[in-house]
Order: sequence, then C-alpha cells, then structure tokens
Amino acid sequence: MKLIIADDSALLREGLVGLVERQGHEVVAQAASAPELLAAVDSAYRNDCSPDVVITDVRMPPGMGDDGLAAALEIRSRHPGIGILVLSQYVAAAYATDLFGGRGDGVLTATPGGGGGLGYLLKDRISRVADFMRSLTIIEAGGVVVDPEVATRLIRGKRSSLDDLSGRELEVLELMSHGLSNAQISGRLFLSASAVSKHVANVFSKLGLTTGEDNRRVRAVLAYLTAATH
Amino acid sequence: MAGRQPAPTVGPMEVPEQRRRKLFAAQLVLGVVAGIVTTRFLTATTGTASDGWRFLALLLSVGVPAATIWGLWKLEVAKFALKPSAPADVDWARELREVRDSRRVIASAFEIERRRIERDLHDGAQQNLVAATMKLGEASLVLEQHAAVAPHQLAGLAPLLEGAHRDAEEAMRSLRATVSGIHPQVLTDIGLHAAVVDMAERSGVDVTVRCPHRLPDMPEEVVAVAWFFCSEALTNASKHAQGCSATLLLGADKDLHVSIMDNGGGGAWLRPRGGLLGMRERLAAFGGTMELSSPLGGPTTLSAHIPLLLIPAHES
Repeated sequence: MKLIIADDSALLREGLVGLVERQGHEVVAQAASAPELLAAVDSAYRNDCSPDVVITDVRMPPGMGDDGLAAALEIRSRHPGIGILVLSQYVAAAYATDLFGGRGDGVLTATPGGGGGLGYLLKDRISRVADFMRSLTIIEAGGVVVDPEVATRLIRGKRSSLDDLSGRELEVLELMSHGLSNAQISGRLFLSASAVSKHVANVFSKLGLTTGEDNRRVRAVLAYLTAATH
Repeated sequence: MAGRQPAPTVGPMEVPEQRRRKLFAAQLVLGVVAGIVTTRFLTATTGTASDGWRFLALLLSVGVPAATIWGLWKLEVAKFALKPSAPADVDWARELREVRDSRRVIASAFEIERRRIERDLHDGAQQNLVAATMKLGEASLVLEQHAAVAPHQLAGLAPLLEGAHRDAEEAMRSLRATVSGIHPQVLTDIGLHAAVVDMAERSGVDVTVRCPHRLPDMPEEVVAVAWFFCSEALTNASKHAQGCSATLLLGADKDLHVSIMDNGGGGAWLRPRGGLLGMRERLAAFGGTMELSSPLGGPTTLSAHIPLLLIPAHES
C-alpha cells in the first residue's frame, strides 16, 4: 500500500519508513511538521498518487502540541477517502474522542464501511511488527483500530465491560457505531423512540459513562469498536 | 499588611541615623561656643572694668554653662527618643511585594524547567527507545520468517531478542509515567478539565470529575499548580480512602476552585514534610490557599483556591 509518514523525529521517521518499505509497502512522501504533511497529502493527491494511509505523530511542529492530530482531522475533511493512523507517545482518551468524534460536534468521523479507516495507537505498538502491519491493513480497508489502552480508559474497565450488555443493547450500540442517530436506530430496529433512548441510557450506565461526561456516545462506540478489533 | 506609623520626632524623609548625627553636631557646636563665651566672661570678672560689669560677667559665666548643660541635656534626650535604627519608614508593602514576586518567579522558573525536562525526554530518550524497539521487533520478525533456513546455532537468538524487546518496552512504560508526572503535554493540548479527567481515569480511585461551567482561559502557572494539586489530592485519596468513591469539582470565578470530596473514614491531617504541606506552599507562591476538612468518620474535603489575577486586590 502507499503511505505518507509524518514525524518530527528524523530517527523515528527513517526507522518507520525503512520498516514499512522492507515489509513491501511504498512511502510516497515524508513530512516533519503538520503543514508539511498537509502539503504532501495535497500534492500527492494532485499528482494522482494519493496515499492509502497517512501515518502521523500527534506532537509535531510548529506548535509542538497536538498539531499532528489537527492535521489528521484536516486531512479527513479534505480527503475523506484516505485512511489515517495517528501515533502518540502518550495515550489520552481525550485525543481519541477528538480524533473519532471530531472537535466538539460529537459526530463520529469514523464509520466502518464508509470513507477511509481511522486508527489511534501508542507508538510502542509499532515494534510488534506483525500486529502493526495488520492494523495498517485494517485501516486501509476502511476499518477502525483503537489502542487497547484507550479502551480501558474510555469505559472505566475496572467496573464495567461490554459483557454486561444485553443482546438488544449490543445491537443498539452496533448501530450507534455506524453513526446512526436514535431516530434512525428506532426505524431500523422497529422500536419506539422511548425504547431506544432507554437502551442507549442503559448502554451508557453499564459502561460507567455518567451524565455530564463529554462525548459519551463517542466513548461508548470506541469501546465497542475496540472490543471488536482485539 | 499596612506599614507602621513613622515616629513623630522623625521627618518624613529622614533616617534616624542622620537625625542623630545632626543632634550630635548641634551638641558639639553648643559646647564649644558655650566654652569660649564662658572663658571670655570669666576673664572679664578679674579685669579692670566697673563693679557692675564684673558682677554681670560673673553672673553670665555661671548662667551660660548652666543654660548649656540644660541645652545639651535636651539634645541628648531628643537623641535617645529616636528608636535605635527603627526601620519605621521602610516601605513594608513594597518589600512584601518584592518577596512575593520573587517567590512567584522562582515557582515559574521551576515550571519552565519541568517543561524543558519533559521536552528533552520526549525528544531524546523516548524516541531512541521507540526506534530501538522497532528494530528489535523487526529482527524478531525476520528471524521468525527465516526460522526454517536458520542454522540451529541461532536457536537461542529468538528468546534473547524477545527479552531485550520486553525490557525496552518496560523502559518506555516507566519513562512515560515519569514524563507525564513532570508535566503532562495533555494539559497544554486539551486544557485542565480534560487533563484532570485523563488523570482520574488512570488513578485507580473511583472518582467522578465535575466541571459544571466551561473554565476560562487561565495563566499557565495557575493551570499547572491546579493540575499538581489534583494529582496530589488523588494520590492522597488512593492512600487514605481506598475502596471509596470521590468527586472532584472544578469551578472558577475570580479564583479557580478545586475541591475533592471522598466518603472515606476521614481523620486526614497535614503531615510534616508530607505532600499536602508541600502543595500548600506551592499554592501560596501564586497567592492560593488550601483547606482540609476531615472529621473522624468522614467525609474528607480538600480544596484549593487560586486567584486568576496574580495581583492582590489592595494593590490594584
């Protein structure tokens, strides 16, 4: 597959490029900062050698904050078909909800089957080469990969898990993961609106997501998708 | 704290030492002049002048020294009335402001230094470790893929590579924990609320974070000190209120308020050289305060209040 790789550390970038090339993939461009990445993706797109997956670090120049994440969201909105894998040195649920839920609107930007895949992994995972290559393949195919460490954060693994959900609740959660609203779910499952909201509320409470928690829907869906891919 | 009233004997711009020196000079001049005048009159008493003049000279040669002694005594009294180098007119308010400013500068410098260490570790050791594990991982993979053709002497290589890989991964994990304790990048990226939620999720304490209203933009140091307070409070709760649940509340008006309440057994106190006492000092550097309420039987409430504007009200 064709890749674009962005990381400000030359050591890491070269290492990753060498690794994926030896695994038989093609790196069409490299970038050392967020603007460089955006320019590389745009120019690759214009020259008709659009990448299948973009791999980017979260923390990059110019801001040395979450510039890489912002660039990933920008690429998603400009070229929704390109798969994106975001790598980070430190996993925070907030980055994941930003990436998968967009910023603020709470709408899922990753819906399996529609558009490019999306992934969020700790940098440590690269070294488990076979697993890492599998993750890339999933993202290329439009799937979602979430670091297992994120999932345990998202749903307070200590107290709750997907196992507690009833069959109906799992069904509702699956449709939520396809980006469906409550109204659409009630149409699909032939349930009343109040029954659907009851199921949704149960999903949240069984996953330990209390009222007032930000991005509850995104969190629940991420937990579901993570459990599905690991 | 208001400055002390200046002593009444001292002029507004005069230091006591200067005043005392002037009084001493006056005594000296008075003594010398009186001596000369008295000698003059004493010579006159034995001269050839009329009886009347000589009598007057005699009176004056007794009167002048008497008056001089009285004058010297008065000046001496005035000298003693001055408090020994009393810093009565030192600008206490300014002095205090300078001390507080310098404490704040030190605390901020400490914060900058933490961020530098975090950045160095992130750009240096962490990247090197990731790169090293990538190579180890790839080496293992290559060995695995060619296991069939590899000579049997290399059989021991796979477990060695795997061992090195695990060690390096462990190093990455512990380094990550260290780095996030020094200064979490999330604090800068996603703000105090989200960073505290992230911390709470990692803490092992059953804590619900509540922030009913969006927090305003705050000075970086205030955010950092609030984050460290939350970290200390959660560490404390995990030690003293195990198995209990806690609520962390964030709110702001002119101050940033952080409170953590747990339903544990209570009885917490500020131990000498303990983390909380250190935290109180750190808060104080930014004009902040800390309160602990922990009656036996609980609940325990620990709160911090940090002014958002670093200028105290009476100075603005």
